[in-house]
Amino acid sequence: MKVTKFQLSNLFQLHKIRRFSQIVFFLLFLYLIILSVTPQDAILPIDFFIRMDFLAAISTSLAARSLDMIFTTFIPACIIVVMTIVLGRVFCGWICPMGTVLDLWDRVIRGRKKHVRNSRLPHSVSMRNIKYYLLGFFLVAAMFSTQLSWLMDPIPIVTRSVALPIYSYFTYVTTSILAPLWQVPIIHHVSEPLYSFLKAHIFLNNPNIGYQAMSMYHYLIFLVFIGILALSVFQARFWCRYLCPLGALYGLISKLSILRWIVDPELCNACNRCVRQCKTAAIIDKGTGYYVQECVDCFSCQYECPQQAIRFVFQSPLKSIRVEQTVLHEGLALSRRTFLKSAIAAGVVVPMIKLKTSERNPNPWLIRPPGAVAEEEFLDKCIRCGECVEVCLTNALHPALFEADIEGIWTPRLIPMLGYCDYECNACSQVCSTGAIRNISLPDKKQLKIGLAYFNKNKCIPWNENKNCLVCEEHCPVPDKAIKFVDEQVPEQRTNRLVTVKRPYVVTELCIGCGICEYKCPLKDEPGIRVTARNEARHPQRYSGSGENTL
Amino acid sequence: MSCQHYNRRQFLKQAVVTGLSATVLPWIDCIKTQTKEMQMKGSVPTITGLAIARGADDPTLLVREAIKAAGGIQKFISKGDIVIIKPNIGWSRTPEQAANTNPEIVETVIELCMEAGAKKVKVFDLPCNPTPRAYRMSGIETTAKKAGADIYFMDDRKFRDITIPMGEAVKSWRMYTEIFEADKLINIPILKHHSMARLTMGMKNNMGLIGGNRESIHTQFDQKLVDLCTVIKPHLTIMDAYRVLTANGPNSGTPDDVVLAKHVIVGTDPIAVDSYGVQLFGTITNQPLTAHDIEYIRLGNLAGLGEIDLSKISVNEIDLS
Repeated sequence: MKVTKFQLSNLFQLHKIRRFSQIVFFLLFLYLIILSVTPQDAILPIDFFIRMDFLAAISTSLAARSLDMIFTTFIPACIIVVMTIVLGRVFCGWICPMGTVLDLWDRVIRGRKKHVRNSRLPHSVSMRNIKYYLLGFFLVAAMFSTQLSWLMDPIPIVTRSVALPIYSYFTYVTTSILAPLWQVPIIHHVSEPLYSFLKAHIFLNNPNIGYQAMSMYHYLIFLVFIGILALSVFQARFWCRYLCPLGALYGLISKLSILRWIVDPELCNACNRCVRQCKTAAIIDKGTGYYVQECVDCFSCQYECPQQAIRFVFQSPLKSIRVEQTVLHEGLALSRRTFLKSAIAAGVVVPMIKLKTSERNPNPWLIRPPGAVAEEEFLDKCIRCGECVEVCLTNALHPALFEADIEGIWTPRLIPMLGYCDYECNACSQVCSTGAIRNISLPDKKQLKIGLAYFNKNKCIPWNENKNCLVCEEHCPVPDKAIKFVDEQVPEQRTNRLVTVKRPYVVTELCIGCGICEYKCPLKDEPGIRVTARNEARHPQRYSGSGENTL
Repeated sequence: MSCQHYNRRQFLKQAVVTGLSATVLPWIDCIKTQTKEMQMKGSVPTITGLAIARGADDPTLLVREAIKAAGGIQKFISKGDIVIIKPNIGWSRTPEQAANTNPEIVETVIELCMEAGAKKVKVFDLPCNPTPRAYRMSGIETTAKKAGADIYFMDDRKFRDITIPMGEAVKSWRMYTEIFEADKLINIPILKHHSMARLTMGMKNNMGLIGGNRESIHTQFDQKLVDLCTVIKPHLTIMDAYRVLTANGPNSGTPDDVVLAKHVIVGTDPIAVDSYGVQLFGTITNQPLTAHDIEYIRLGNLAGLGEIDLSKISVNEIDLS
């Protein structure tokens, strides 16, 4: 052997360390998801995994035209990029929670080490380019100021799937199993301490509600996640091989990496074992070469090789085009042609998305969390990680479907009938990585208008039934009360006798639109007081102007 | 799991087990849907009058003196009692904003109960705002823990529909059953303004012990509240009128509405305590208010819950200023 460089792989059993790293990072991921409800206790920023996402960094900063974000919020992503330049796609093989989920899942459905042998589909080299097309598409769309990477970016996908449907589901199921046992003799000695521990530290819960309710859109998030898992039936890590745009991005960067895979031709007997077990099908038949941008540094090939012919060495990427007989295949990756195609696709799709009715007729029920930036910028910055929805203590925030048009799928939306924006809370603004929800202080938040309440006098009890109620006024958190009332002499419903009824009204200047009035209204069918986005601070004129947009 | 041995019999077996556990497990808890009749457990010697301490800067002193004037805590709490203390922790507000019971007063009452040999003191409320934050911001979580009480969130499994035999507007309501299992229930309301009920004191504080659609109590409020108070009967009421919220109640939030009144009122008769509260509130705000102006106190008196006319009972006032 001519190559006598430092051999990383001989020092440790790297594939085992890798598996350990995956588990550690996955536990960290779960820990941060659980802790994001009380972010002040976390040792790391609770959006740490989002911050490692270089695709989110590029696409949001390009779309929102604020490139400085890459070097402030997304410093961990920059570190990952440096690591990728040195080591290749270590993020995919060692860190990515989606990759870990898929590895675990592959093991569940295939059993040990049968990754490729059980594949239902032969590996397709050309399909592999889908991810580069997607990457190009998202980047070009971002250049056109439309951030769409949330659709396929694995970190937001896995974050919102775990933080919303899976976490709610886990909480609900565990509660339904443990809670009824409290009166069962003997068992309750075990179940009750466990239940109260989970309730205090693990559950995604709200003591007023019990668990976070799921809307239809939660299920849709879950379906996407299930879909990604289902694709593994065809091939191990189907998602990572063909679809993942973040993997594509790190793959492109990893072409520069100096950690290289080589085969000792004297030892290799072309048994093809490495080819069969490779998670991402990066190795070319009989080990004659490999696609560096596909390799996720899992080191399984090296472990599996019966001849111990495979080694990983540090080499200059320029030099290593041909090392011994190991050929480095460039593959297609993001060639100029690929990029042009996806640029055209983005150029076609972006105007379709931008052509929306909400320009002239914005949805009045679309109440954004306090601190949300102006709608256009909001849509460019929101990566739909679901953290704000998760941390909302009152379960007021829910992912939207088409309420914010097609561009706003899964963006957070406050639904006052399900929960209200608590006066003393600014949790959602604390967890937003990309600044779609500005980090606002509590005193500022208390002043910030997110909507405006109005009375539906056809429903409101004092107005319609001529009875006292004033629950809305009682709960109004604004110190001077944005809901006030007048005493009026009105006929009692049955007797027609005149009685004094306190009839409430809203003071437009004082109302901050928190929605507690709508939430607490005793009329649960159709509240007598509703909140719309009118008067929201980010677009004061949007719903109440004389209409400069009218033709 | 190997699939070869999975035959029809096993499938049926598993289906039966799964089906049974899915149907039977929820039934363990089925009893909670039935309406139940329950009554307060313990009893205390009734004191005919009220004991009031006023003027001291230290709320702790006010409580201790008022209780002493009422006959000492031993009169109400026996050794080994399980005591429930129900402060008002309705809102995410600080003690200075006077929307919740003064935490020091709660702390002192817990200490007194402990001194009297109570086996366990439990503290809870069902706030209108998110529970953890209300507990934290009220300061009661800290002081109650310091004094050695169990402070916890109310458990949604312990609510039952309880019949109200004397009820006129409501015949049954969801209530927290723990209060019927404890030996003593001490109500520690705060005197404050309430736009709909005009004032909220001891009787209204009992609303923190009920569940269901609490908001709907507000229509035909006065009669419904009296109905609830025929079942929920605290053994002792200690009213915090140290800081009094005089406007924009029950939560306000601005210091302009808070008046330092420095009163603590102790009594076993909930109507009498509330009646004194009305009188005190009238004095503080310079309004001609009598207990008869507050409809639910008047109705409560008619329902026989207590004495509305303060001239008929002994009012023992201790001035500590």
